[in-house]
Amino acid sequence: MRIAALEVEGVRNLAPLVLSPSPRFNVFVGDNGQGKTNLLESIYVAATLRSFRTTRLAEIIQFGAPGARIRARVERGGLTRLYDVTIGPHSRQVRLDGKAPRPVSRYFGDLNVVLFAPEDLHLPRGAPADRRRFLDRAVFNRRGEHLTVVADYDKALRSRNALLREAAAGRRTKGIGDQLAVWDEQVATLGARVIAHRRAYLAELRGPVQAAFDAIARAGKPADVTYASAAPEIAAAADADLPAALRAALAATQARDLARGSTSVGPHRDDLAFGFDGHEAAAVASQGQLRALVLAWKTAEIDLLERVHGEPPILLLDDVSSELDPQRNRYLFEYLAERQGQCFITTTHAGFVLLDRNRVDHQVRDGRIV
Amino acid sequence: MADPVQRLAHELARLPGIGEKTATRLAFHLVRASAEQVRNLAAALVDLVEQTRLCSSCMNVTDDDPCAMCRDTRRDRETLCVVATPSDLVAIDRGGHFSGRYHVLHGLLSPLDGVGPEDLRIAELLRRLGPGDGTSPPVREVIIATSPSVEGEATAMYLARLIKPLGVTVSRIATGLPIGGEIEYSDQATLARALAHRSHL
Ligand SMILES: Nc1ncnc2c1ncn2[C@@H]1O[C@H](COP(=O)(O)OP(=O)(O)O)[C@@H](O)[C@H]1O
Ligand SMILES: [Mg+2]
Ligand SMILES: [Zn+2]
Repeated sequence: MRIAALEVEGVRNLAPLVLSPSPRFNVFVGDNGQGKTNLLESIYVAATLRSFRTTRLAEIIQFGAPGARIRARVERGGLTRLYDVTIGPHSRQVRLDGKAPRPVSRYFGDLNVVLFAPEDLHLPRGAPADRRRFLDRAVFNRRGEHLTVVADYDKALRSRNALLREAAAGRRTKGIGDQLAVWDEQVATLGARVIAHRRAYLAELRGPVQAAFDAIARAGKPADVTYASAAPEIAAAADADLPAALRAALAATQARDLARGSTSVGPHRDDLAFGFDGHEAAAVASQGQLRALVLAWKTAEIDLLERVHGEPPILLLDDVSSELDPQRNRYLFEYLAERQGQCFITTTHAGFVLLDRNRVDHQVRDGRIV
Repeated sequence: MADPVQRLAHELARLPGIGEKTATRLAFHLVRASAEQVRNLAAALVDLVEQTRLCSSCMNVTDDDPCAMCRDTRRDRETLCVVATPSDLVAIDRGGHFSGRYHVLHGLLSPLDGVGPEDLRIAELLRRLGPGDGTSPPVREVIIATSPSVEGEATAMYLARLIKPLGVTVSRIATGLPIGGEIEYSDQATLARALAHRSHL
């Protein structure tokens, strides 16, 4: 699949732009703060209706502008589709080939983008919440329904927490048992699906990540990625037993949860564990090895998507070279040159992008792309 | 904008699905419309507040209590269909496939919005399921027709917990592929639900 035409208006500092991207490498060169990430963000929003920078989509609207609009003409397997998103201060309008898709989840599926950002390279030493988001984003690209399940789980969880706080404050105590039971059940069934999706994804990706790591790091020691549930009884449960295990765990922690006004077990407490040589990677691996591990994940993620969708996803590489040492940077571009597919690459120095063929360079200055 | 136009636009913009732009356009449209048309509209709006109330049995909006549906003797008294809103009732009844009676909850459980069981017409529903005065047959089945959203599911489950001990059958409408919809074009969430809620043949 590839973006054959892109139109952006009213997004952050970008001047209205019309672009016919190359089917292979599109390189955007510019100093910091010029609008490179904003351009990748526009493409990401067109594909996923979300931003990777903010949960409030309206933030991408240019200061002083009434709204933002992003249009992408996408070619896939001889078919052309028109993706069209308009974002207002309090609204979002989505069109696919000129019509409003119903339900909106119909919009997803044909346009897969994979983002690789410098922040990703800090994940093994970062916060668990960032790793969960990173993992969920990858799972969503693999199976579209994960987005809905995660959103529903999040809502069920926040509902349960609201009820816990009401109960703790002495409000709504009448029939509170029946009410809590209902939200426990929602949290348990939806939470089980979130965990099962994440586990299934890691089962697919684990081997390829290990192999890619060996090739990149040449460390002679194995790396690993696993799903780590905080509660041992949930970690031990088979997929089919997850709802029951979550139900039991919620019941066991209910008294504590009531006192805290929040839910202490569930996928929102789980983690994506990066391992190295049998230990937690963040504790024992060098910075270079940690980055190699994330790079290995990303290449494995891209290969997997290409395998399941039968077509290479579109890659968005945001200034990644500045965070990689020369050797791993070379590995990345050798990998990209060998595979098929369209890439959008930003960088502060054109020389960082080690590609000598099929590339079209643009300069980005003050929101203008030339 | 002249003051009355502005006031009307302001009120219209508070309606669901109407933004400020549409509200302003409607207001100016009415300025140009015939005086008779506008008076009819105003009268209809006034009647809405003065002549409607909730049916004391099914809680649907009505101008007559009990409402026409509750009085209709051809309707099956043994089956109740529970819906969240009067407009859901209209949508289901339009199909003509359900000949029982309805009960309108006027909302769904939503702790995030501070909506609890006592904010919904649940007590009135339970009253209808009680032994009654012996003049009408008891309700045998309650079909819960709330949406498949998180709140819709939670509300359905909550009602089931309260109703089942009364010895009344509780069922939930199935969700899945739309009739005439093609599997190829169905979204993943719908397909996943359709598979999870498959039925035996
Ligand atoms: N909503 C907005 N409206 C206008 N400009 C914005 C908005 N949000 C961010 N910016 C500007 O965008 C610029 C950053 O662009 P970015 O794409 O992150 O730069 P880089 O080229 O370093 O990736 C900053 O100058 C910032 O002030
Ligand atoms: Mg940037
Ligand atoms: Zn009635």
